[in-house]
Amino acid sequence: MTRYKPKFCRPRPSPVSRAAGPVSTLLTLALLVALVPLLGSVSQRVVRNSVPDISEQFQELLGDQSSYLPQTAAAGEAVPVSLPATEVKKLRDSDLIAPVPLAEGYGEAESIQEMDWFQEKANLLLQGQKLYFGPGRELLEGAPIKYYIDDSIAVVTWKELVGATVLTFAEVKIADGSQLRRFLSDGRFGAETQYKTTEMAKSVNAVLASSGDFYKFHYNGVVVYEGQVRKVYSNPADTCYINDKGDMIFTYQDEKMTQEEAQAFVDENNIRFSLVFGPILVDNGQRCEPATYDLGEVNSFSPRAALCQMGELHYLVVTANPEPEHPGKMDIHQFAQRIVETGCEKAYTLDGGQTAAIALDGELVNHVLYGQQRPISDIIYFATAVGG
Amino acid sequence: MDRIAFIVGDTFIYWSSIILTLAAGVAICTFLALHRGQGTTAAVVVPVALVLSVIFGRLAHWYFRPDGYESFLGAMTDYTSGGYALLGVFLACLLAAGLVKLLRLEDDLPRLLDEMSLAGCAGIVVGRLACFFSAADRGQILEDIHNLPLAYPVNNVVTGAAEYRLATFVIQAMVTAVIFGGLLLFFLLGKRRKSGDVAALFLLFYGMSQAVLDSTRYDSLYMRSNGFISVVQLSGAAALVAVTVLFSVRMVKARGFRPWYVALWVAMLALLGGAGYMEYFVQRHGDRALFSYSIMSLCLGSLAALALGTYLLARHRE
Repeated sequence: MTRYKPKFCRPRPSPVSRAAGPVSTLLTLALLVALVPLLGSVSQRVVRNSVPDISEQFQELLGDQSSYLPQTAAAGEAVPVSLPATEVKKLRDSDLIAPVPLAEGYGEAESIQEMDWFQEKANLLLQGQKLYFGPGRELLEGAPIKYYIDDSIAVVTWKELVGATVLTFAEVKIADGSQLRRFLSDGRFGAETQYKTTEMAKSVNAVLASSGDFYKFHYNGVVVYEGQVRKVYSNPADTCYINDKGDMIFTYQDEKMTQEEAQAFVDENNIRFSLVFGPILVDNGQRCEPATYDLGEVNSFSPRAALCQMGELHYLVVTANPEPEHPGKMDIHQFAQRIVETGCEKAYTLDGGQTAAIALDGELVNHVLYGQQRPISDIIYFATAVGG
Repeated sequence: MDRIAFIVGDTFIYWSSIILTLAAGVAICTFLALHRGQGTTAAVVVPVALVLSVIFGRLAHWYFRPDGYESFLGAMTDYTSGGYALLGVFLACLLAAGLVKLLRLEDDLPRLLDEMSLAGCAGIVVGRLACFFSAADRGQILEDIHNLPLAYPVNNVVTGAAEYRLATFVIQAMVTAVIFGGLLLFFLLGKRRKSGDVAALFLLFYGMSQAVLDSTRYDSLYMRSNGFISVVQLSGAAALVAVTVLFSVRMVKARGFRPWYVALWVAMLALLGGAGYMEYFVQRHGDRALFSYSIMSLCLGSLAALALGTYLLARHRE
């Protein structure tokens, strides 16, 4: 081993070495200067691009308001402008944060009988449809019913015991398809940070949120976000698309698409975003889960989660979780059977296991596996359209 | 959010960019100060390592986070957006060192790696402090602790609200500073030290620290094949195991085989398994993170101490 010697003790370098020094120094300095704009500014730039221009928002707001103004008025005449008491807005996908729900809209009840008023109030939104929640349901003992209701959204959550497994239901009726929303961590596709479902739900003012497909965890199917096809992976997966009317549209894992074909499909069907996990559990009211599937360990007993469409703008979010006193789990076939019995038209499996979480007002409703939420990359959520 | 230092034309220059560039500068200066080989070696290896670091840092980032980019070509040609992985920088430095060896500009590659390890260590200490100017440090949200060095406020990118998160990068900087100090003393004053020993010890201790600390991050790079296995943790553990094997081989060569070595290796495996189990445990029981990380640190620290023991035993005879 050679001992360290200070520079002044070392032999004089050759002429080539002496020339190489300054050249290398200049080159290194130039490289360092070039590095400055490249490093460290990544997330900021992307987020700036995804946040809509504020002047554009004001312009749109003014545009909306002007529709309520009288078209003709005599000069100098004071004209009262009357806006609707509660205005149900169409939410924009580019707005990362939804309106704040009304605090007085949330509540809890101990029994279904206490919820008769809820059914009546929700009738305005239901427009002839019926709630799945009601007198026929057998609630898990000790588990409260939780709800939220305003002029644009009605949500009720409850738990039922099926065998030894606890099913948590969240029934949602919304006024507009834009209230069914998708949020990716940090508000952009491809972001690194993972959050718990409840953290993301709080940050976007979700009335009801569910863990999504954990898109950062796998590379399958067609990923659509904000109406744009972001990725078309070669690994197959049943895909659930949500269009501008809030309808669930399915493609099956054997339907392959190129990037261009996928974008054409998205444009043609006004798709806003996709969920890629699966499998599809119910289509046209019929059970259709496959015997085997690449994602989600369908044949093992595990916590499950699903998004179901009961009718127009009417949904159920369901999880099947073990709880300390009821430790049962379900395979996908048992889960599909339970889901189809709800009478839903369509149902699609979301990421289960420790991911499966439902949050109302930013608080967990179901009992997540191990009692701890897993940090994930995305949620789906339902927002109010009349809040502040 | 990243804090803007100044604006040049259409380009925003962020404080974090300046700190990271400063970190690269510190690494280069440290290397030049410690370098004992030909000046030509330094003149070639520094710019080559710098350029390769940008390329391989991006390549590694793209590989483990492909959905952050439009395409591979876009990732490798557009450096105005996207990220970099430190793992790629390590690989780039190794390649740069190998290149000067191939060009016969350097005879003692292990010694060059010793110097580069220390330089990298110094750079990491400074570079991690860029977290004070950005929202990049994403440890677990802490409800009760709101003070440095354990926690500090990071703005939520969506709401702008301050979240007190575990200051993973600050802790990484502090741990790496301790490693740097110890290795520098060993480099300058260590007796009977062989070329390459400092690099091996750097891999041992830095790998150990990363295997624990990366688990506390909420924005780790994950394996493509399994979204729950952190690439940095896996690489850290691999480095730890590789160096342990290297030291064990040296010990056997220097002292001959003794039966109690088997017990030692079994103990090492058990410690590694214990650390692995604690990672499995903490992913499921996040509320018991303190317990999990304490046990994990204890396991990996003991493993590193045993590996260091084998090194000392080998060196004693060598």
